[in-house]
Amino acid sequence: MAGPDEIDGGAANGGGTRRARTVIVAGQSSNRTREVLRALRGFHSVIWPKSLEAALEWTGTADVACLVIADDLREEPVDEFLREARELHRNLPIFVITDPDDVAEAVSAMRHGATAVIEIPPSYAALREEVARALQ
Amino acid sequence: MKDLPQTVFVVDDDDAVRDSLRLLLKSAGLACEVAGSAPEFLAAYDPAHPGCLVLDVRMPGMSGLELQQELNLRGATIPVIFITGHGDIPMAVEAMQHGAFDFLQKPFRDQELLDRVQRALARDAEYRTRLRHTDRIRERLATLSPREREVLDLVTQGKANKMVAGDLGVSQRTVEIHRAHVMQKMEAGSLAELVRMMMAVAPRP
Amino acid sequence: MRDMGGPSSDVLALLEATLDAVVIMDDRGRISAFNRSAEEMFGYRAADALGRNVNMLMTSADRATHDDHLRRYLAGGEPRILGKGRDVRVRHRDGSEFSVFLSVGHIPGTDPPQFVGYLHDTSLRRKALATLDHERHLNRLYLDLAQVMLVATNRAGLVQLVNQRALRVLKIDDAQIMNSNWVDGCVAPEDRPVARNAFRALLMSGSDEPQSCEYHVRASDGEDRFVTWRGVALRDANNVATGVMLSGEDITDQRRAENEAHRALERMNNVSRLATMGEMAAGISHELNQPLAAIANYAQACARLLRLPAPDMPEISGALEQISSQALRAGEIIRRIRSLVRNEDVRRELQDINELIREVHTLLASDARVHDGKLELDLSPALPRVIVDGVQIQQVLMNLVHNAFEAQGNDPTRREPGAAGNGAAFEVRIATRPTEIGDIEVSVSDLGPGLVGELEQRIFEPFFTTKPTGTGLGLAISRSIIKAHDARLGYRANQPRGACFYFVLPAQLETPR
Repeated sequence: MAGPDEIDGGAANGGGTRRARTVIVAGQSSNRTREVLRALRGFHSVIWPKSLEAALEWTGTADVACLVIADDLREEPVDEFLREARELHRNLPIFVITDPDDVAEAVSAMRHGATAVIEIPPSYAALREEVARALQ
Repeated sequence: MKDLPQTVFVVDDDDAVRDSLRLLLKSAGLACEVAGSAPEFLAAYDPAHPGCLVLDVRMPGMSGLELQQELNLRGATIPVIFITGHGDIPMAVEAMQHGAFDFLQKPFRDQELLDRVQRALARDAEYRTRLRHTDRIRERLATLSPREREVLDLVTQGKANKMVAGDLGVSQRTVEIHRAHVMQKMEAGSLAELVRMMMAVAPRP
Repeated sequence: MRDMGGPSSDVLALLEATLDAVVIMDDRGRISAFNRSAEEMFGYRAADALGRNVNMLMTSADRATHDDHLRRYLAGGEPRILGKGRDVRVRHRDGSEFSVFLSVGHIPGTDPPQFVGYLHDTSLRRKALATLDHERHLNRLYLDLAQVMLVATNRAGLVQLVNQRALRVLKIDDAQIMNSNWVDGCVAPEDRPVARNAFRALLMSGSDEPQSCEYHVRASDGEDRFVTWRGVALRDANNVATGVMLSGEDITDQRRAENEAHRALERMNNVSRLATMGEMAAGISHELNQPLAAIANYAQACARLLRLPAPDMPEISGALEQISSQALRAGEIIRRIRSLVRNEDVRRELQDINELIREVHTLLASDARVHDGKLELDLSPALPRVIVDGVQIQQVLMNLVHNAFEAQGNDPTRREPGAAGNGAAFEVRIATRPTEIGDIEVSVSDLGPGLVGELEQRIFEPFFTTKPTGTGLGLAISRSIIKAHDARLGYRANQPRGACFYFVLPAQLETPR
């Protein structure tokens, strides 16, 4: 099956039967999305699906640890996508990335179901922490 | 109680901010009560009083966040809108994670605040209605006899009268009589309605 | 001395007594008297000298001349040698030559004529002169090797002596400065009164204690150098001042460096103050947002109220009044901030320390809020006033309070801020109280982790910081500000826990108002 781009992963699989837990990154092809992907390097199985449908599909798989919405989406507003994802998955950790100090955007994301909102820059460390926690 | 009007409760330690909010809400035709500190608010707070809470995040003594947590502990459901003179994203996220309804930075445009207040009041009203509704369902459930309750459970699982009779070891006729009583006591017009009532009071997963 | 038909015994006795060598000769140059000093001088015993020609005592060069002179005199010519003294070289018995001062006289009443010659050993004199010359030369060397400028003048202030260093600094040569007026010629115009007064004071002072003074000299190219002088009066045998001797050190570069350092410290002060203000930006923006929010709310409320069929006039006019006062409140805050970031020169004035603290209370309290903390003021009433630069003291307080809140915020042993509970998690207290001797102790204390171990030593070090984005300058500068106020910024552990930074300002004694 033509799968989405796999950025990392495979290294930790090493032929074992236990599959690594995946981090789904949604976001248009932009500098910020690329920064987020760079920040997540080192985590197993970071996946950046080519389309929004694929992203939603991936969130349905059993191995998803969390969903990171890195930037605006081509197809629809972030809040909409967020609401859809949240409706599908009550307990899935969903992290939304915003510009620094954009409190209104952060609050709106929280109201639409985000688990946490992270400013990038500067909080690359905070993002890694949240993702690491979700992977446990 | 439907007697008490929907009220916006404002808690802010800055006199000017508090008073100006009072006037703004009044000018929009909203009932408003103010308090200068969290303890002052808690002392007079009546959970039966519908409305919403506009709350400053940082106050000397008990902070806004601490007040929110206290309300959570008490099981209060009043929607909380935070306002702050100095806000950043981490603070906003924390407040929202603890159940805040909204979060707004000072100074704000009047419409911004009023929109959120209206949304919060609507949410509070909706919640109270649902609460009354489920309360009434529970009241009616309490009037059922044990046997009637058994019949209700099996019927709402989708079983036909014949099956129910088999499960309970009684005649189908008995089941039909119990079922009629249940429908009457529960004030349900149809099986579908009965099912909806049970879902409304079912504990959330 | 045996006489061979020479002078009488009285004369001979006289001759024996004199220290000068005396030789008496006849008209043919034969020695008829040779005293003891002559014996010592020439190394001959008188017995060996008597009867021999006097030219045995002369160097070969002089012999011919002597005969010549003698013949001429006897022939009736003028005395070439008689009556005048002159330096001649003579010969010792051992062949060595040396100088003597010779004067010759014709003994009156002698016939045939007898001549007496007095010979004075000048070698000592020569030696003394040579030593003197050598000493002078050495002195000159000392003068010129000296790193200091040396200038001596007479009573009238005219330069009599000047060394190489002075000439170099003034960029002139000897000829130009000698005998010129020191003050008018070499001192920078604006300093001349000072220099003249110092000069006069030296001449008139009774003591030999050197006096110090500082003024600019002006070099020939117009460059001014700043010199610190030490001077003494030069006195004659009667202890009357004949002039002055000045020794000067050119401290222009040093003074310039001092000024630079002072300016750099001022700049660092400003930087640190701005950095602290920047760190307090959260609190400041909060402080300004409050009145702005109130203004926005009131104004918008008024707009709505005015659209109603029966506007509530009392409310509207009340709101407008509030708008004014809130705007003024914002203005005050900005004014306070501006005064804290201005770069004006240090101004020491009589101040009430409690007032200074109250002036910055609002700003400090907003910083407290941002840290979920509480600021307590514990100010003793009726304290005497102090002479301080108010802005600098406020800067120190800001720095200490801000640090205290930051320290508590970073203390992992404390519970999370905002956790349920009453009372602020973090408290900082500013206290003023009189000391035993009536001075004023100002302290800033907190309930944080305090300073553990080596922190206590290092905390005042410049550029030492425990904060990831700290400049490390705040405490170092606070300490130097307090030091400049003749006080000391100290640290002690607070009870029951935490840190306490304090300083004691000297009280100003004033007559009761």
